Amino acid sequence: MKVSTGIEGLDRMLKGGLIPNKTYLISGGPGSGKTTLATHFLIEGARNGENVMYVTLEESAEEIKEEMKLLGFDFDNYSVKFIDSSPTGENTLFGDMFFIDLVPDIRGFKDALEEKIKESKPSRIVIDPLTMLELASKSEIIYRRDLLYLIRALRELKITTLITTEKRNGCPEEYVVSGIVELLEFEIEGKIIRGIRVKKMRGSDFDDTIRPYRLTSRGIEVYPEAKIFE
Amino acid sequence: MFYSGIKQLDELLGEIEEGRIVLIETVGGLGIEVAMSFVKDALKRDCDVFVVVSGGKERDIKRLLEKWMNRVKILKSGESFTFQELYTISLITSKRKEKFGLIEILQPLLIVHDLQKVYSLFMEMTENLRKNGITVVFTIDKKLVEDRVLAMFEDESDIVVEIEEVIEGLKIRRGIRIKKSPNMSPSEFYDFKIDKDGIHIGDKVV
Repeated sequence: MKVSTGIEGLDRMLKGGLIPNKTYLISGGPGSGKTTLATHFLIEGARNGENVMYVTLEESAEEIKEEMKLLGFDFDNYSVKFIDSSPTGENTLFGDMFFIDLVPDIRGFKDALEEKIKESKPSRIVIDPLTMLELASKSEIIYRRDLLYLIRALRELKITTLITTEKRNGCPEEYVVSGIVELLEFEIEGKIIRGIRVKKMRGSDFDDTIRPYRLTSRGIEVYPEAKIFE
Repeated sequence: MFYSGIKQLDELLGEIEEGRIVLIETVGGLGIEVAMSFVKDALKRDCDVFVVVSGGKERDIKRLLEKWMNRVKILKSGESFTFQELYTISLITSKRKEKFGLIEILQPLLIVHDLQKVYSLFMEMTENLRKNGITVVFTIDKKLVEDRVLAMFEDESDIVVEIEEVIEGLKIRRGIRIKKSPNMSPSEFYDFKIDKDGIHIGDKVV
């Protein structure tokens, strides 16, 4: 049984949704809607009565809640556990050390996160974005290895995870996740045209055509029957 | 069945079945009246109609179709679609309940976008419209496209009506012909005039 992303058009592109207990990458530039997509995903779980968790590593939990409220997503109405590991957040995952010393790295993050997961037992997690953790790794090889440990741990804990990143095309995360959804932008005559593409989805059929989407006052709308013509 | 609403043109064209794509090749703005005649005729036959236009043309459409506005759905740029987002045009035309339409936006699209994209959009729209049994009139300005391009759009259309204008010294001659039709043979050019009394199609041009 697939897991709905909370976005009908994207679920159709994914032929029903995401395969549960796997980790997926959401990549896109600034303002492309990664956080909004992640929010759709978690709210969908919360509406179904699931325990869900939002780990934020850049924007504070308060900032995210305020922004999403403007789109009609009121996190206070749902049972969503926030782990605020942002530089300006009050309750960091690692206390004060993480952003001062850039330690621990992903291993440390994984261990700290596992503790939180044991408390809350979420079935869905968002990690937004992963970029900050890459900075903490000593090398790309170590980063990839530790990322694999993290993803394996999440799979064993039976959690469907979305990770966001601003990086594209050949970044290490692309090789280790089960699926990739890309948020793309094209500029035509001064207007930004947005396209969403499922670049990879192991174990499942999917629509790999770039489809248009819009950021509306109700979140993301994907048009799975339309073509982007770009 | 649909008709142009112009007696002599209907004699040349015959009946237009549901789900047909009609392309009217205009010269600048000359010939838009022919397209509007098709629309008015559909309205007179109690058919609901949709019109896809750039925002600036809405007022003209409303003036020309004033008597029937309760049965006309105007889809204008900036509101129902944007010229930059081609998919919005495909989406609005794929969801029509009306059985007749006029799409008058090929010109601005060809200015904004590459030909290939506009042609892809045209093919997608015509496929959907035919599938849904909707008869649509498209207009295209011959001055804006090369012959090769025109041929591509003609190929995708079922019926092609061509307007031509020739200036000989200080004399202007205008003509109209059926260039392509599934039910009738292509015709010669006929004299074509528009005045305050309407559209007049005269004798064959010798």
